[in-house]
Amino acid sequence: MVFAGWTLWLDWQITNTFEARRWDLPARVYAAPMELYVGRPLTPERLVAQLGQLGYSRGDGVRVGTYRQVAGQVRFHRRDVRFWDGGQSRQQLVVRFDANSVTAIVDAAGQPVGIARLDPLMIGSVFAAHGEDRLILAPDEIPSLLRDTLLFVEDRRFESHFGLDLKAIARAAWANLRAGRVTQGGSTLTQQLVKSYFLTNERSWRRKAREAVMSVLLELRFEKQEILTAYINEIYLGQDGNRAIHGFALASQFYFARPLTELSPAEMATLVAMVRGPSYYSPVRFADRLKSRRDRIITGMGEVGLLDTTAVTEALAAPLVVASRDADRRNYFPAFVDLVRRQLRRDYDDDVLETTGLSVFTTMDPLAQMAAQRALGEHLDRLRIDGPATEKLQGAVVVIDPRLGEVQALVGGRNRVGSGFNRALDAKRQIGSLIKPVVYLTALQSGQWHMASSIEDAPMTVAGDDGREWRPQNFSKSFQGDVPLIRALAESINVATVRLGLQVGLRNVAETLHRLGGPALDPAYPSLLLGAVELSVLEVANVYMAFVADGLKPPLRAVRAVVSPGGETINRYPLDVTSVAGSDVLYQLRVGLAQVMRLGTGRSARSTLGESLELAGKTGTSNDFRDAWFAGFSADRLAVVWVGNDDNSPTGLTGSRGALPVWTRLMAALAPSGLRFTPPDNTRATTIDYQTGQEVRSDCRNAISVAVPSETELAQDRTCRRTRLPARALQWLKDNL
Amino acid sequence: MQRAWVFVVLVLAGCSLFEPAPFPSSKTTSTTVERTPRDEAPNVIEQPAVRPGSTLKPAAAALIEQAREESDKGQAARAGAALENAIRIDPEHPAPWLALAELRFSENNLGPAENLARRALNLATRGSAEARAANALLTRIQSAPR
Repeated sequence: MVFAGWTLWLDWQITNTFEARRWDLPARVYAAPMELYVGRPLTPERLVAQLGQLGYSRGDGVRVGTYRQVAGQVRFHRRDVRFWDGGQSRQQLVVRFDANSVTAIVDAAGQPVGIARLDPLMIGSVFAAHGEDRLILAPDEIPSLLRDTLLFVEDRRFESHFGLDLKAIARAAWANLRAGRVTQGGSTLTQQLVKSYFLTNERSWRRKAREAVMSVLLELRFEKQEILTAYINEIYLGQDGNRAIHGFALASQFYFARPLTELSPAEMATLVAMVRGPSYYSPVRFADRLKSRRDRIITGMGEVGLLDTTAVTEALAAPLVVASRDADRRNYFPAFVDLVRRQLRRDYDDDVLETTGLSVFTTMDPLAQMAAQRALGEHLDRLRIDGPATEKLQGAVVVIDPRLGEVQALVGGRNRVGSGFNRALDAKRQIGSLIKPVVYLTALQSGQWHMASSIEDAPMTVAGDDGREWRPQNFSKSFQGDVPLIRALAESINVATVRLGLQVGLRNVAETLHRLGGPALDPAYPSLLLGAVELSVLEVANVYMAFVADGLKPPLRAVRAVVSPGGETINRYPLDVTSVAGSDVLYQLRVGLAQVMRLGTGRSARSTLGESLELAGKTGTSNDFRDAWFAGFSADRLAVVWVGNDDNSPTGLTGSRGALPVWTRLMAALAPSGLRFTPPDNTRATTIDYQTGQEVRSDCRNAISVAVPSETELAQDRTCRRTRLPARALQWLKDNL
Repeated sequence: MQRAWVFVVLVLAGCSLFEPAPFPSSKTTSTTVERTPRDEAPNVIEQPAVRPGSTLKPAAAALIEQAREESDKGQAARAGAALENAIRIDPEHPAPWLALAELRFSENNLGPAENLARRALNLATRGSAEARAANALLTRIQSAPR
């Protein structure tokens, strides 16, 4: 009676566990897929880099998952690709290039292909701390060689036993008795699966009995195929920090950085070899031990006909190569996934994200992400040589496609895989002169000012934030007298900007900042006008996004869609734009920000990136050189860089020296398309004298482009001195003397 | 919806709906002296008064066509996705913005439709067929019951 009750209890437990246990399936997070089409700016090298990142291997380009690069073209066999908005089947493709773009895409039959998508790069998973990570395979996704090898090694009578293999138990018992200790196990796959479910290493007769009864019950209740599939998805195959690697599919990615279906026989044998004990047979610590077990398995595979002689010879000759930890982690971008998680938290509970196997399609551009990481890392390394003030330097970078509001890259610090502090989101720092475009935009919006208007740059005293007198200073410690607004912006003149800001009204400046996407400041203090307001890198990017286009600003997005495990799209985040400012005033401001890059604090970037590329941006340096900023954009990329110390100590760096070089390196790697300037209605383009603000001919020596409201009448100066030197020579002199 | 799709199909068919705009001088000061860019001061930015027309990239055109098919099948979400993709491929061209504005209008999302149509208008060459189509759509949106 007691036994019957106990058995019923076990039956209930195991059936429940097997059936009702939904594997904790972390949400999978994917980058935006690279799309190939005729005319797309791309080089063969960048395509090959992307294929490499996706785990394609160099080969003939005919086998699935391989590529071949020959002069001016890349042939590859793309895997099946599934997206939220449709899929594309595996396909052999040939992509041809000219100097810098795709000229043709054809399939194996030579037929042109309109748009080909690459697989989306998996960039992370959302799993709980100490959570289990796995990829689930359906029965028909399990390679037969893996299945057969596993059964051959772990449970040869799997198809015929009833959960227990009495012969194997007897053999193991005899071997253990002779050895005087436990040297062999006789567990079937079913027993191993039961053991894995209940996660106990207790060695007792009681546990053994419970495991045996449960195994028999499991076999009575379920098909062999269901049990084997569960085993292949469940079995523990290693540990990566706090992430437990479960199942062969994830192990394949973790150890070989490729899908299971693309593994060689030697690699499959390696994974099967590790089932017995992933740490005892660790490929890193005990490679020889693992290789000798792998080789025994390969030989056995030959003996039972799973491999022919040639394949055995080949497999035995294959070195035991596992991808480095970095290779697996190379494609993990925790800072970006952190942003994704925060966006999704508005719609999903943590529990749903961590356990229900959602696929999250994001906006990340892997090439931009890698470029941003490299640009920041390399520049910080260079700065660190300078001494103690720069030793602990940290930084953060955000890259956005400003037309769509899509976050393409996010770097949260020097050490990207460290579980650390995400500075791009959480480090709120004073933005210094990055605030100035907001002040100038407010002035333009008032209708009282245009970029050729004069503002006085002379000593002034104002009531400060604490009620005491405040005397703002210029970086140069000198004053320029009356200056046109465009010059005050380009040269980032502090006192002229404070005077302008007070004249247009602090309240108005604060409101503009808020409308553009910045924080609400109430009350606002005069120090706001020099950037004594704390924003994160992402918040700055959100504000600056308004400056790029026509005042119709998309909200920031990191996620395009969320898809259920069944392939159903359960959430979309569609493109939208809202009006935040007039296109005319933004245009006038943008011409000013372009002058920052020509003759102001951003000009060093232009000499690196080329003078024909129109860019716009602004440097920022907070008090005592605590924060170095640069925010700038082309037509298609907006990037914001912050460099500083976590403890807020001074770095001795200006925005030009600390952050602009990171931005420049990054932009150089992204091959951005330049801004184009066509004045909107109600705005006219003209040239003024840089010193006086009077309208002059464009060949005058001090001529500078501005845009002003159409009806604006400017004082004319027809007596200017013409430039005698060719423009390039003049620029060279300005840059170098 | 219909009219914009007709417009878009015409664009796809390669009809020359608009003459390529001349590339006028950026200078607005009155002078008769002929100048080359080399004579200009280095801080003069080319600001042509009229945006040059451009041809829609074929990949973006194909996506707009695909969006039309999806929209006809009642697959608005897929149509929207295809149009967003078209915008990614050719963001400077007004056609995909205009088509997305039409789609939002057909879904009765008037606010987004209006803003997207404005973006299309801002990108269109003044006086071009796209500008006219965007203006016409804006009129319909503004006169739609809210």
